[in-house]
Amino acid sequence: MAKALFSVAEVARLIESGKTLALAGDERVLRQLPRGNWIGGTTPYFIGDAGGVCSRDLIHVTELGEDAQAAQIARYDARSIERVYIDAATAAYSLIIIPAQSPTHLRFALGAPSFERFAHRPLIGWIAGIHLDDLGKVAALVFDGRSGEAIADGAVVLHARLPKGKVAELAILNIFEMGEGPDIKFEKDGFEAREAVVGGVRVNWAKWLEQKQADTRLPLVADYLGTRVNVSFQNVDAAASVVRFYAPVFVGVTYRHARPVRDYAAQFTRHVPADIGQVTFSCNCILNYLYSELEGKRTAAFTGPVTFGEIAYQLVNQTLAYLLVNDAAGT
Amino acid sequence: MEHPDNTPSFTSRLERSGHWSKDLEFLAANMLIARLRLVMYADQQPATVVRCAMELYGLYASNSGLPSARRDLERLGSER
Repeated sequence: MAKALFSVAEVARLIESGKTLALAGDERVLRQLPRGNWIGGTTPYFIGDAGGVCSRDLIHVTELGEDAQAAQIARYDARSIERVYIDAATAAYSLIIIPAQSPTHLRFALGAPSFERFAHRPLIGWIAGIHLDDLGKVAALVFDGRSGEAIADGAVVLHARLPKGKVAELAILNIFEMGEGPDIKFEKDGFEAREAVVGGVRVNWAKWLEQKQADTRLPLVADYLGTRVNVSFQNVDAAASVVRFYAPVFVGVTYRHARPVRDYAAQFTRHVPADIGQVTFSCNCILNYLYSELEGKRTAAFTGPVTFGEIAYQLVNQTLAYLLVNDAAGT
Repeated sequence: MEHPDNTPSFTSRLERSGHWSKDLEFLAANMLIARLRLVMYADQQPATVVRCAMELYGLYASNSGLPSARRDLERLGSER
């Protein structure tokens, strides 16, 4: 397996040699890097060569140099983010990073599937986060390596091209399945819900979850025509009668609470497709890292940042998102 | 790739979207159809179905080089 985690000095040398990079690391180390053709986002959690690890000193490196030609860096804000798929339309794929809890994150999460040219090219990426000890103290950031600027609200994107004969395809690996419980529907789109229609009955959902002693480490799962898309619980505040999520729930979508998973790492490995090809980038969710205790455990051949949300065309949760670059012929 | 007017699969599949068989491989199509179903539920005019079919067609047209999209198109073509 290729090396994935590097020191600041090693990454600085890669940047200075002209490589195009997508980086993940703690704010302190990303701020030490020289200017160059890179984008970055904050997280101290990674799946590295030897498995899950938390480090404020190491940087996860995705090098686009071998496959991507003339990658272009672009920046967006909460208003202009709706152009991201239009700009991506001339790229082979685009890699995006957005800081958690920023207005751009919220706008993208709620609006992406309705943006013009949604998914006309693969858009993969992640929501930047922070060390969990720093919750409420510092903000997640993304970096534009051209200027070295740290951005608390916005998105940085690498729009990449590929040599002729190469094709990029995005996929997800979600081992959660709908459980046997009742259907759950919502009457408003959003990152929080006060009421839900559970098995056809409108309920105070926070109280309902509390009464049922629901395991909110498990996500809600929606079935998008056979593709399972998760929404993770952030917290349940029964006193305030509100349930908060890490991705929005949508009106008209039927959700169910996921079936429990024993031994995530083992289950994950079993679900990895055979002959997967060349994985150019992947990221996995902080909740999988925490709840499945991935520290020190490997997840097949995948390395990458551990994130506060994964972007596989749109925002998803508790899911591995990955990008494959393979020969167009013979696929 | 054929225009959707000549490829009734897109329109007919969207019209009976409550009965979609779970056989599409292309991840983006599944995500888009999930939204289009809501659009068509809110506005059941025939013109809305055609507009949604065009959107789905556009997605496949842009991604026809992807293996999963290509396999879906072959399957849709064989349904005509």
